[in-house]
This record gives sequence, C-alpha cells and structure tokens, in this order.
Amino acid sequence: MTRLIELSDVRKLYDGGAKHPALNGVSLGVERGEFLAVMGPSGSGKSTLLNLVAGLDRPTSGRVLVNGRDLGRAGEAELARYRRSGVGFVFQFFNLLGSLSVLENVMVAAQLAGSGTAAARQRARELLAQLGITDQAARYPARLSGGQQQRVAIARALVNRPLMLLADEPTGALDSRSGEQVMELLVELNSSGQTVLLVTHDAKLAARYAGRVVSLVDGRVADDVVLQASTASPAEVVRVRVEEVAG
Amino acid sequence: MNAVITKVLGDLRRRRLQAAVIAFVIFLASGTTTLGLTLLQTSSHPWERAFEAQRGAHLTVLFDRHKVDPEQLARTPGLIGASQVGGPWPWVETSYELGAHMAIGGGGFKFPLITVGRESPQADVELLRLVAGRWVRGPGEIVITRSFADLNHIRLGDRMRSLGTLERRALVVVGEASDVDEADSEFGTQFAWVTESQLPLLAPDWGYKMAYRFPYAPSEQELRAKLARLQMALPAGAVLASMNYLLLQKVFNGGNQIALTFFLAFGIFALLACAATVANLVIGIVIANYREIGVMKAVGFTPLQVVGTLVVQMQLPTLAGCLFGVPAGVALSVPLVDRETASLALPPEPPFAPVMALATLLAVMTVVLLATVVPGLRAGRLSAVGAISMATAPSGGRRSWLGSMLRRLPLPRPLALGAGDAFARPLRAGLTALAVLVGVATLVFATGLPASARTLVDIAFAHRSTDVILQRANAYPDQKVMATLAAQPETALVVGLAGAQVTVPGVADPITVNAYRGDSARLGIPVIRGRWFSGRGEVVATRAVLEDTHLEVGDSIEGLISGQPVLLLLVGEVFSANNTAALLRPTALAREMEMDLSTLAEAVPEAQPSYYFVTIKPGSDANAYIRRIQATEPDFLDATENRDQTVSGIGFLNSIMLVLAAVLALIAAAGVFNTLLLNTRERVRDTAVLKALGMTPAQVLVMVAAGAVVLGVAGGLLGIPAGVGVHRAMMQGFANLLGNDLPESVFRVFSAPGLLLLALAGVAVALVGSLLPARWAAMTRVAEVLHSE
Repeated sequence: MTRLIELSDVRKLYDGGAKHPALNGVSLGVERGEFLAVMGPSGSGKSTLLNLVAGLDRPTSGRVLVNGRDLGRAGEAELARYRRSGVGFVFQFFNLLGSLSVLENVMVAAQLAGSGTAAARQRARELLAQLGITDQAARYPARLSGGQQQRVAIARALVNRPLMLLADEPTGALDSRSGEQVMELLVELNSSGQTVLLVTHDAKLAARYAGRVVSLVDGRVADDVVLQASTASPAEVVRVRVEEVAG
Repeated sequence: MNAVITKVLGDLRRRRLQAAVIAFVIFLASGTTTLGLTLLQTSSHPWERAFEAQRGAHLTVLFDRHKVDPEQLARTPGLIGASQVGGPWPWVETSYELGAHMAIGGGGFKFPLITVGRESPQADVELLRLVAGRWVRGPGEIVITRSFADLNHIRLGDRMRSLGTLERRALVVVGEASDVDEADSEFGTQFAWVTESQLPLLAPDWGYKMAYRFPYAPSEQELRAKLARLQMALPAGAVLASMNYLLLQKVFNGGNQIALTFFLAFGIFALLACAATVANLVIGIVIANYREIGVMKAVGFTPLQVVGTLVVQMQLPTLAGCLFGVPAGVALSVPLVDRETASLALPPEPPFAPVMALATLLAVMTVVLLATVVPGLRAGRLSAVGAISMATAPSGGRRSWLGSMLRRLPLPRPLALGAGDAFARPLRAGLTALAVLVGVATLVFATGLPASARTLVDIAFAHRSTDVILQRANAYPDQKVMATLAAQPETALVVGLAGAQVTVPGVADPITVNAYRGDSARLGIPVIRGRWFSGRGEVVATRAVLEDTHLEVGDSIEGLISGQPVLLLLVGEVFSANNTAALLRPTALAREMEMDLSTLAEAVPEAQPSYYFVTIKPGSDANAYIRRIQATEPDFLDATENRDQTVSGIGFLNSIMLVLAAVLALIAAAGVFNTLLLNTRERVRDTAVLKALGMTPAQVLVMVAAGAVVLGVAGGLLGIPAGVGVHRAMMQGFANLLGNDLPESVFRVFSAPGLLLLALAGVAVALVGSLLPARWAAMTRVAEVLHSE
C-alpha cells in the first residue's frame, strides 16, 4: 500500500483558542485502501482533523499532504477542485440539497467536477442501482428515510470516484439497522479498494468495521491501533485502550 | 409590553443590516412621496393666490379701435354683468430690438411684445405687481414682465428699440412687473407697458384692451356666452381676441399638474416597491425563525405579542427612514415650488407642510404595517409545538415548478442552481421581481419622457425641414422679402405664413388660422388623420376644433374670416404645432386651423405672409445666409436659424424624473439585495454542502448572481412593457390636456436596442443588489456551517 494522507505536526488554533488548540501536533499517515476510524470524545479534534483532510480548513502550522499535495498551501479554488475529485464526504445529517431530486443530488457533484449532464446522469444511475435505491431517483430527500438519505449521500460522495471517502458520524442520525447497512456498505466499498476515513465516537462501530483506529484526546493522537482479523475481541481492545488513554 | 420591547431591541441588534436596508428603502420612498404630496399641496395655490391678490381679469378682450370707441367700450361691463373693469387701455403688438450694449450682446435680437398703455400699475382689475424698479412716468420708458426679463437677461436701465415705426423709438426699461393675466414668457408672447400717450407712437395699428372681473367665478361656458354677447352688441370684427382666466389657470397649473402626476406616480411606485421589500423581509424573518417563534410562544408570548414584535421591529427603521426621507423630499421640492411662486412674484413660501409630512409618515407607516401584518399573522397563529417542529423538520413541502424547471436548464451547474434558487420561494421571487419591474418601468418612462418632449418641441417649434425662419415687420413689403430670398443662390424652398382668425358656428372664440403660401406639405406638420390640404377651400384642424364644432374629417363648414363667409372643407386632423411646446399660446390653446393662403385670400385678398420658413440647399452655411438676409434690411427683417430649441421647464422636469428613476432603481437594488440576503442565509447549509462537494468561491458567486440575473430578467422583461404603457398613458393624458392628438412619433420614442439596454439595466440593478450577498455566500465557512448542526 502507498501512503495517501500524511499529517506532520499539525496544529490548529481557532480564534481565541490559543490555550486550547483543536489539534496539537498531530502526525498521522493513512495508506491507500485503508479503512481508518478516528475516535475520541466530544471536543477531541476529530472533526477538525476531518476538515483538514477534506480541504475545508487549513492548519495553523504543520503540513497536511494528500496524494502528495500540500493542502495548507493550496488556494480556495484549488481546494475546491481537490474536494471535487479527491474527496467524497458523507455527513451525519446527510446534507442533501432539499430542492433537488435524489438523482439530481448525485448528479450535481459530478457536474461540478465537469461531467456532462448525460454522463453525470449515467454515473448517478449506476450508483443508485449499486446502492439499491434506483426506485427513489425521482423523489426528493425529504420524502426518504434516514437510511435512504444516507445512501444517497454515499452515492453522491462516490460519484467522482474520489481518492478517499470521509464519513463524519455517518450512522449518528440513523436507527441501528440502517446504521449497520450503511457501515456494511462502507466496508464493501473499502474491500473494493476505496480508502475510507470514518469519524465516530462509537468504539464498537470503529472496532467492528475499521482496520485501524486512531484515538484523539485534547487534540493529540492518544492511540493508534491496527486491528488484525485475528484480534479476539477488537471492540473490547479499542474500548480498553481508549479508556486507558483518556485516563 | 416590556418583553416585546426587549425582544424587538434584541432582534434589531441581531438584524442590523436588514434594519438598515429597510431604513434606506423607506428613506427613498418617503422622500419621493413627500415631494409628490408637497407639490400637490402647493401647486394649486400660487396662481389662485396671485389671481386674487392682483385682482386678475376673468375675461380680457382686445378690440379693434377702428370699429369701437372708448365710449362704447365703457358700456360693455354692463352688457356682460362685469362688476369691475380695467381699461380701455391702448395696446399694440409690435417688435422690439435690444440695444447693442445690453446683456444679451451683439444687438439685432428681436422679439414681439404686446405693449399696453397704462398710467399706473393700480387698477380695479389686473393690478400689476412691480417687482423691480418703478412704473413708467413719461416718454421713452417701458416696464416689462419679470419672466421676460429673466428669460432674456434684461436688466433695469437696458434699452429697447421699438420696430413698429420708422422712427424706431428707444425705450429704457424702468421696471419689472408680475402679471397674473398672462403665461410664462417661455410659453407665450408677453405684455409690456408704456404711458398711454406714448403707445400710439410705437405702432400705427393699435387697439384697445379691456379687462373684466365678475362677482363670481364664471365657467368656461358662461365666459363664452359673455363674449358672444359682446360680439353681438358691437360692430362685426370689433373683438379681435380674447383670453379668459380658466385658460391661464390651465396653462399655469397644467405644467404643474403633469409634473405632479408624474411625481405622485413615482411616489406610489416607490411605496409599492417598498411594500414588496418589507413584505419579503418579514416573510423571510418568519420563515427563518419558526423555532424562535415557537420558543416565544412556549415562554408565554401571546399571538398579538408575536405579531407586535414583528410590527415594531419594522416600524422602528421605518420611522428612522422617514425622519430623513421627509426633510429630503421637502428640500427637493423647494426649487420646484420656487419656480412656481417666482414666476408670479409671490413671496417665497416655505414648502414645508406639516400636514403633508404627517400624511407621508402615516402613508409609509401604514404601507409597512400592512406589509408586516399579513405575514406576521401567520407567525402569530402558529402553535408553539407546530412552529418548533416546522423549524426542525426537513422541508418537504411544495416546490416551485419554475425553480425546478430553471434548475434543469442545460447551463453550467452553478448557473442553473442559482437560477432555480431565485424562484425557490415563488412569493419572494415575485415580490422582488415586482420591485425590479417598478424600477425598470420607471427608467423606461423617465427616459421616454425626455425623448417625447424633445419630439414635441421639435414639432412645436416645428418645421424641422426648415433651416431659417424669417419674420418681416409690417412696414416691409412681402414682395421685397421674396425678392431678397429669390436672390440668394442657396434658397431651396420658401413657405410663407400669414396669421388670421376664423369664427365658426358653435364656437364663441375665434379660431387661429395659419395660412401658408408655397409647398406647405413639406414643412412636415404631423397629420393625425386624413391628409394635408391641397388647395383652396381645404383645411386641416386640431382635435379641439373638431370637438368644439362636432365635425369630422370630410365635413364642410362655413366660417367667417374678417366678416367674410368662407366655405371650408375639413380634409385632415393635425397635431397643433403651436400649442404643444408646453401649452404655448394660451390665447389659442389647441384651437387651430391650417389652410392655403388662397383660402384666406377669399376673405382677405390683401393677406400676406409675415413669417417665412426657408429651406436652404444641402451644404449651405445657414449663418452666412442669415447674415446676408439680415444685412439687406436690419430693421425690418428678423432672420433666425431654426436651431434645436429647449424648454427649460421640460429640461428641469426631465432632470427630476431621472433622479427619481435612480431612486426607484436604488429601491429595486435594495429589494434584490434583501431577497438574496434572505436566500443566501436560508440556504447557507446548501451552499456549504456545495462547497464541500467542490464548488469554488467563484462558482458560488456566479450561483448567487445567477439568481439575481433571473430576477432582473423577469423584472426587466415585464418592466419594459409596463414602462412603455405608463409612458403612453401619461403622454395621452398630456395630449388630452392640450386638446390635441399626439402624433405617433411622440409615443414611438423607444428603439429596440434602447429597450434592451433598459431591460439590461434591470439586470444590472439586480446584480448590484446581489454583490454583497454573493460575496458573503462565497465566503461561507463550510466547516463552521456543517458542524454547527
């Protein structure tokens, strides 16, 4: 595997937060094809980490390299282009555009990346079929269940064949069954080579589906565990280690 | 109540920008409305005040002294029931020349004046108000009107020379007077005064003038009956001309009424645009604050208090806007009111009218109240739980089909999304498009008006095909003029014009006759219906004549010219050239007949032209031509180039119109700004998502601007026909006031590229309004927005 993401001594300060940096000297590498879960309690810096990798924010110091590109030095337009092709984002609350149909929600990301309408429609239909929601294509997001909406969001995230899929608490707004389905979908995508970076506070979820779990506490990497298939009880391992780190 | 105030103050702090937009829009609208209402209050008063103060004449009649004597005239008041009388005063219409040392410079400037012999400005009727200098005391002195002095830059002490006789008597201007019985010098021939003994020396063909005042204000019909009685009682032809106060009142107030109508229309437009903007804002606040409204109700706000919060929140910036807008409107009305009062020599009157200021304030606040209450009631009626759940539930309601359609346009994605978003809320989009529509319609109207006025002035000062206009003194024979013109190699066409009057059955006042010699069809006087006359006995007339005589084109009528019957065949209706340049000659307002000189000669064989319209060959030097003609007889010929004329009143009106159009455009821009601000704030999450999906800041800018463009195009496209329609309606009203039908060229002043430009102005206005919201949307911080859920 080759390294896709490289964070070197990354610090992130928000206005007035000099004493409590959101990220404080984080160094982390993510290999291509990896399924990484980032865990931590509220305020630990997981979402900040995700934002930096997604190119939605810039580090105060340190470097964020994705596929060899230094995101801290990229301009707004360059970051936008990077997000189009490099990142697929799955949000906790789906963030679908309410005024567009399911099909259009998926298409819009492809069109922003420069696809023609026909090609975008074709690709969107493929993904909707792959995710089992073809029959919802003409409906509007408000008419769908949470699980269906998240599938649409995943389809949208995948439409440009991104380098990585970033999922921020993707099951947070779903019932357990829908959540499981979504996670299984992410695993399936990962097994076909898609890099996945999952942010969650759910140790069980992380241990069950991810190949590696990074724990953040107060903006620092507190633990970094690679879970082997042979690990007897990965969830328990993760839970114990997180508790140890958190003290 | 305290809770409402606390909430209102908190909301205003939070919505400073929107409050500022409201205050700004109200400032503009209240200023415009104040201007209209202030003029409404003052415009009908100055002339009436001056008329009473100066004991103006209800009826003024000019008599031929060869047909009546002063004794006969002394009995006329009893004949028509006049309670007071002025005259008989000797009068004569004659030309003057300004002296070489005068302000206008150069000498050779000639103009006609109706000169009256009067020993004193005091009289029972037609009291003249001296506004500068003193009254005439002896020979060689003259008093002119202030209006005439101002127009021609004549000062006290300047010299004028009468051209009515070979002696060419010199007169010194010793005073300036205000005369309520005549129109502004820009619009009609002016009176001037010398001593009675001096007058007969100025020109041989002088007559008498009588001014009558009645114990009541007579109607037009009564005045006609009185004039008819005079004509019956006196020898035929004794009455040369008449003028009544209603006509003068119409002339004076007519211009103001037009201006007033325009200003009030602007005021109403401004209020309409204002209402649209405020309603939009309140609807936006209600939609954006369902949760807060729910919480307010949950903590104990009554429905009335919820509505009250919104109402007070809107009324405070409204009050602030009015506080500056009303004085600004008053300030803008000062020059307009001053123009009215100065021409009548009335003491300047501060235009501030507390009643009107209060009326404006009430009107504006009522409009804002209505615009607030309607959407506010919706908020008031919501239940606490309902409001909170509406705020948290995803929006699954009806979608705008127009928005969906626009989003599917085969355009780059940001453009299509922005276009669709513009109509995501159809009511908001409609109200915003209405504000743009009003702005564009006003621009169309304000640009059309000067063009129409220009066309009217061109027609009125007429004869666009004419290069030189020549006037001869009575003492100089027509044959010599024609010989002089024929001797010039550049002369291409000469059309002579003789003036006369015709009396027709059913019309008490004589009708002005313009009798032409030569190829008069080439003068280009617009024919509205029928055709131009082609020979003896054929005439064309204005609409006013046709209406008064109940005749149609094709009918014949027997008229009396100088007491001689003449059979006249009406072959066409014309636009009255002489009466249009802002109600030009009150003595013949819109009652005019054009005929060939041969027709006039049937009754007056000796009739000869006194004006000559000369067309010179292409490439000739008009100035050199004029100098040569003038040099042949400098005292008796007055040659002028038929240059572009301007009427300062129209120019002034146009300037004000353009300012007001700019005001409306600003209101429209503020409306668009407001709408896009609401849209971008409501859709901040969507914008953040789109940025997360890779939309660049530039694309976000384009997306928001696309929404503005769509609104601008919608408002612009609808605003063009609306503006053209308003323009036509206003010009038609103007024509009705004149008793004329306007030629189509007055309406067809818009070109397709010009209208396209104006529609684009609507887009530009919308784009201006979108600048800040678009920039703010482009700067949306995705991480903050998406993680504040």
